[in-house]
Amino acid sequence: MQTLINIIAQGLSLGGVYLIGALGLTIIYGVMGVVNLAHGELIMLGSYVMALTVSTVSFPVAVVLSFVLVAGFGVVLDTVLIRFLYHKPVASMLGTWGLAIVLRQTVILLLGPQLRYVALPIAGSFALGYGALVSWWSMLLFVVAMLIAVAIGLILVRTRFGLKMRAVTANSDAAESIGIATRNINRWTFALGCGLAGVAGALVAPLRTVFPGMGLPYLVGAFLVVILAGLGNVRSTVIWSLLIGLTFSAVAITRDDITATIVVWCAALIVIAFRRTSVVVSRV
Amino acid sequence: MDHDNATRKDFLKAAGAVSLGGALLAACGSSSSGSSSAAPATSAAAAGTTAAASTETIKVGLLNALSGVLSITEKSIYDGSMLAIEQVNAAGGVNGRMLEPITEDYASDFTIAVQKAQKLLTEDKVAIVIGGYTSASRVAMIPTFQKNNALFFYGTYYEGLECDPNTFYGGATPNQFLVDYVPWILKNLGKSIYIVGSDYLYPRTVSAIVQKLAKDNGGSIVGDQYFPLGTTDFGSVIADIGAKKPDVVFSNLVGDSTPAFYKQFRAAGYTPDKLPIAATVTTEVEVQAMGADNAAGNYMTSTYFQSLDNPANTAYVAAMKAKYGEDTVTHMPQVGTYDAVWLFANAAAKIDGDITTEALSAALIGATYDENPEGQPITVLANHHCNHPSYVGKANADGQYDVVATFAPTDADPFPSVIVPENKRPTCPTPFKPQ
Amino acid sequence: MLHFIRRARTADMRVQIAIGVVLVAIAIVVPLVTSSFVVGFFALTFPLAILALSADMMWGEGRLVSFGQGLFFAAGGYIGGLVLIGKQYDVSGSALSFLSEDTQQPLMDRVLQQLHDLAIGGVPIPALILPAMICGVVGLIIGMIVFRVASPEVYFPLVTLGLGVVGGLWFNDLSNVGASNGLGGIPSFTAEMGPQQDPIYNYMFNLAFVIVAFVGWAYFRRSRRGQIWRGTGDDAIRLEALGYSVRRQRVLAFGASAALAAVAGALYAGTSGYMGPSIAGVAFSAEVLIWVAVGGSGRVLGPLVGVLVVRWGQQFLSSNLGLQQSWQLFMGLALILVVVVAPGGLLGIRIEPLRKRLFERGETKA
Repeated sequence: MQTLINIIAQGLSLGGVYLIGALGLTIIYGVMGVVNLAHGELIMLGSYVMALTVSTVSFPVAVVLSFVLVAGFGVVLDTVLIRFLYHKPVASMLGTWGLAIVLRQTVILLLGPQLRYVALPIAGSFALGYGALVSWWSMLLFVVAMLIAVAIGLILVRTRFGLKMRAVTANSDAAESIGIATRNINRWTFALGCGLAGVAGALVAPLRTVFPGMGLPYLVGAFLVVILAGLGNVRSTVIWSLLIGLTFSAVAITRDDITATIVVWCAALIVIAFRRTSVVVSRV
Repeated sequence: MDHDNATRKDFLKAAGAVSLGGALLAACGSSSSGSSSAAPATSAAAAGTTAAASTETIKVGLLNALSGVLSITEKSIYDGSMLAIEQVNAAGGVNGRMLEPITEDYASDFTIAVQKAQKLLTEDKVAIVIGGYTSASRVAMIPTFQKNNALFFYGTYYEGLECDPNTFYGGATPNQFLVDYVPWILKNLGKSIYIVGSDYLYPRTVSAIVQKLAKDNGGSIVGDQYFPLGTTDFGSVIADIGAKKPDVVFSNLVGDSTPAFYKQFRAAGYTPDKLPIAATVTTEVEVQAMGADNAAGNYMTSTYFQSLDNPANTAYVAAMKAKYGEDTVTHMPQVGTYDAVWLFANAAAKIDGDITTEALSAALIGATYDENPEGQPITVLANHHCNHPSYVGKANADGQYDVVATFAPTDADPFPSVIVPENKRPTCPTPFKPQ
Repeated sequence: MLHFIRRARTADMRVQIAIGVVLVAIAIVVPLVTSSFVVGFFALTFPLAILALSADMMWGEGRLVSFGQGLFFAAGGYIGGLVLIGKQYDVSGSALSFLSEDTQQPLMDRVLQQLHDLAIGGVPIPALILPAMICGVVGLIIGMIVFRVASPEVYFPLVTLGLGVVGGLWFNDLSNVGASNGLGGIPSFTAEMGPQQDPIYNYMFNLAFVIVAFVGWAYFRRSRRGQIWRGTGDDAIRLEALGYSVRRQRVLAFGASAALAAVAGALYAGTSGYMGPSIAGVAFSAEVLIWVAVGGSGRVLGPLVGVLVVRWGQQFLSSNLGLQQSWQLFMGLALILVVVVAPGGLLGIRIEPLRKRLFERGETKA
């Protein structure tokens, strides 16, 4: 029983981390057709904002700063690079990969390659019964991830901006022709995606290690979610993030992390193999 | 435009690009003195000094990952070797000849490491190459050294189980610190051990040795888990530790995994008085990254601690801080590489005439450096390894280690009899195999 | 050769052959005029060019971006390396063997020794054939699973990404091939030909394979099968409607691409003496794609140009200019520049209005 509770607690927390990473990736692709391989580095930037400011301002302020600064940086990125990559999946993959390299190396050059430390604002853990212990912060990560997902969902469905986002996602040419400024929608959606990444980075920093190369595992995890959930679909992303988190955690706790990684990826391959969403009828 | 049809433009472009590349390479490559690179940008005084083809300097290749994932630690290792070169030159060089460092960065990419090693040996014709950090980097480079009949001095502690004739090992092997550490743990911390480590050869070898030593000394192992490099999520293993209730957690985690684990472990409610962590790779670098309060109270074994109180170390730490800043941290692999440069210099000083591989190889055996920050002179043994003392440290609130146990220095044995069966022990160094 | 030229009815085919001849001539002259470092550099880079070609096989015409080429490259390097060594264990390669009491030579060692001895002219041929066979079959199997999905242009890269991750983890734990240290001390294919300190033997050996690979690819592209393969990338639906099985084309292509990457890996292992698990990972596969993008995907010589420009650029920036800590930054900027300004790669640079091309929809067909 203790094992089961542990699996659920850890799985939800891990799923939350995957979710935060995948959400930004998926709305950016949905709206502007860009596969953003620099997403991990944007998370890293958020962590650095946190690491550099948390000693002078309070923690919540630092989180807000992470959102604002990384989102602002996203606007700059969109202006100089991303807008040349709209709706070009392959070019966007390569271009953002180059961007990721540039971001990583710039941070190394300006701030040094060493590992950095961010203190936990809420330390300690609580008991879940049957002897299972989980730390407050990892539960907080899960809660915040879910809140972000809900917020995105609400934005998409209840606001004018969200309505326009959905229109552009469905058919950007048609949207343009009825007067929606797709240019602005794209730019602000990208900024939103970056801001989310920044917040994610700020929140994971206390429990993990902040250094220039920290972004890649988040990218790989986000991709895993996106393979299964499909790009551009928020609800599906939430479900699959949690599913993957729980599966990984179940195998990791009962066996080990490496087996868990292999199992999760093989399962993903199998799930894809049995999907039947063909437009092109493929014979053997 | 149909890209299948090759036009004259394409022809010119293709041939032009390849010829240009080849010609430029030839121009840069064929002049033997033209392609030595400048000293690195770390010290303000170092401008780009191009070296003339001079017989007055001895070229020393420094091959490290200065960018990429490995640079987190490897950059500071490089800093240590540069300090040593400065000191050697300040003391008059090697028989009056200055050491000329040739810095190369392999960017944490082993295909580049092979290339750079080749460049240092065939282009720059260095007397020796010092560097590397992970065992994989060393194994990747060794074939190039064998092909070119050259020497490599590897300064970082590693798992042993190797004895290459072209390589000298400045760092400790597990027998030099585990043989005393594990019984100490069993006596002072508890009998049941849960082992966690990163997933590569060093942690697995250390774990094998720890398991054997523990069983021989009345302890028990209740868990043995490995995590891919770069893992920063330890929720599942922390939960398992809670279930298995060991007396001590033995950590062989490396790099960014280490601070993450310590932080999450503490966040889950485990303090050192309840469940201490005893580590082999939680150096001062990792302590700095996880925050002193997360490290405090946990244990580490090492042949070197920044807090060691001996004249050589006091001078060393002061020199490193003067050169690289007050926040500079000194640690074991850095000291091993620093020692490697000095050992090379002292060995080369004994050679009359040209520094050939054969002469250097012979001179290195028995070479000594007295100002070893570890606290006693370091000497190169016949098996190409060095002798080291070992200590057990307990992390304090300032992010440094207080020495709580000191063990007599032992000679390195890369094939320790505690785990390697008698019939498998090769001669060390192994015979040279021409490629 | 003459037959080929006679069949070159069109002018552009003659131009292609002329390009080829000139390049081969340059390649033969290079060792005579440059230093041994340059020769060694090329010897190490030729297998990488073949690897880049294997990536472009899927990408250039088929529009399928593979992040898994590093995996097959590493697998080929391991398999080839084991045959070249002739047994599983080598002192610097498989340290874990020292931890077991076993002294009897395992069956696998005996098999490897036999394969090693099956040499033609001193070259252990199975070290090339075995990687191609094994990885080719694995590629076919993976292809059969993966190409059932709609819009494989998007899912194929993601799946190969996953393969790279899992493969890297698996190799990292495989003690037969040295686990995380990798397989070291691999003797060269040309070990019997001359002293290995001179890189010319590896240079010539690898050059031969580069020539065969690129000429073969150029020939394939002109052939009927090549045209069909291009059809799968241009308009799969129409091709399907014409009665061709797009899925089968893709499966076969992936198998061939995997086999070629494996051969490249075996060549590389023999030349550098080393193969490691980090090479199987995603980061290296991404580099391969960068080489192709820089050179120009969809062009015969694109992969070759890309590899040479990028690797030589790295060497130049880091060693010759002394930019040890910032050269990766320049590489990233260069990649961005190439993708934005010259999406067709260096070989696809066109003198059209830049603005028009930057903002046009869809992938630019170079």
